[in-house]
Amino acid sequence: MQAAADLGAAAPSRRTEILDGLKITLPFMVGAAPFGVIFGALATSQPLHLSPFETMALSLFVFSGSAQFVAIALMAVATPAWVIWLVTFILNLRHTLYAATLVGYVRHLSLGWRFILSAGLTDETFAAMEDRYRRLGVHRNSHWAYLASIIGMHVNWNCWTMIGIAVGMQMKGLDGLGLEFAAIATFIGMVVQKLRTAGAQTAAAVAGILAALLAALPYKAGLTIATLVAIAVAVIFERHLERRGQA
Amino acid sequence: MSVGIVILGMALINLVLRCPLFLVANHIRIPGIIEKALAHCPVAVLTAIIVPFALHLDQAPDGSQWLNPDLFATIAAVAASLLTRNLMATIAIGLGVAVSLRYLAVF
Repeated sequence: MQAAADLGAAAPSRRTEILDGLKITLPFMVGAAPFGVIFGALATSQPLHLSPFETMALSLFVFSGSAQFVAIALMAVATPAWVIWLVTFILNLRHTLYAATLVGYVRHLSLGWRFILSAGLTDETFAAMEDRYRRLGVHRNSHWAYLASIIGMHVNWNCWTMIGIAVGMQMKGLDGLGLEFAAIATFIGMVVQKLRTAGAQTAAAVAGILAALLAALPYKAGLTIATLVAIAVAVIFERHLERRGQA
Repeated sequence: MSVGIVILGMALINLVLRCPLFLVANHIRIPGIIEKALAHCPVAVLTAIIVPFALHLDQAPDGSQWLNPDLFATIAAVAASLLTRNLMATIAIGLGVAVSLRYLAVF
């Protein structure tokens, strides 16, 4: 990147960048805390009873809140592994968009750096860093702020997961209370906040109706079909609206 | 089903989604129609999980248990999300309804 060379001389120090990366990520870390606790508690308690080790492995290696909640919700209803993988894939396809947006700011870095900065990319770090790069541009040390944001989110998420596991181990006797609704409630909150456009409303309506109608299909095939059809219908409907708007 | 295999697969999928563009490090113009389709992915897949759960279609695919505490908890959570625009409030209210309707044994 051109700007990287231009700003090299006047670049802030690594230390400054690391501290600022943590500073702009802190609100997201606070926001993620309750979800880490809820995740750890739900995964280790009913109806799934994952071991603390398995639960920590999810937070350490998958490191994707929404995908982790989906995984425990689907594992609890005996979903085949490939369906969980497919849902993870569809749910996190948005990360390719994040990478496409940020790639111009990191292309001057070494392969190892680019691997770490992409492997640790989450919604939160994307939001923090995309805004920061737009405000401040890129210079010799700006990737240290990016790295600090990733490490902050990762350490934070895993600490709160651990606390959640401790809570979940105390809830072993609480089967059948309906606590698993917490995961579904997070999904509801995420969906409702996105229902502002006609396209999103179409996607939700088609996905919900089809998923209900096709629920009896084996291997949770209804979930996959409903998702793909809903995305297609929403895109076609949006194009239709655009054309009508232009006419 | 081995939980370890599921976790390993999920971790690899996330790497496959996050890393290739950075590793190639070329500017890629994502076509507008793909970008729009990607934007709808979370809403579509999450709604396709929520609705069968709310109607208890996993336990009863014929829909015979559609009237259940989780349906009312879902309605309450949607209302809470629309009114408060706050994720924690949505979870608290939805969870409260799901647990208290079971406790009261309404169904």
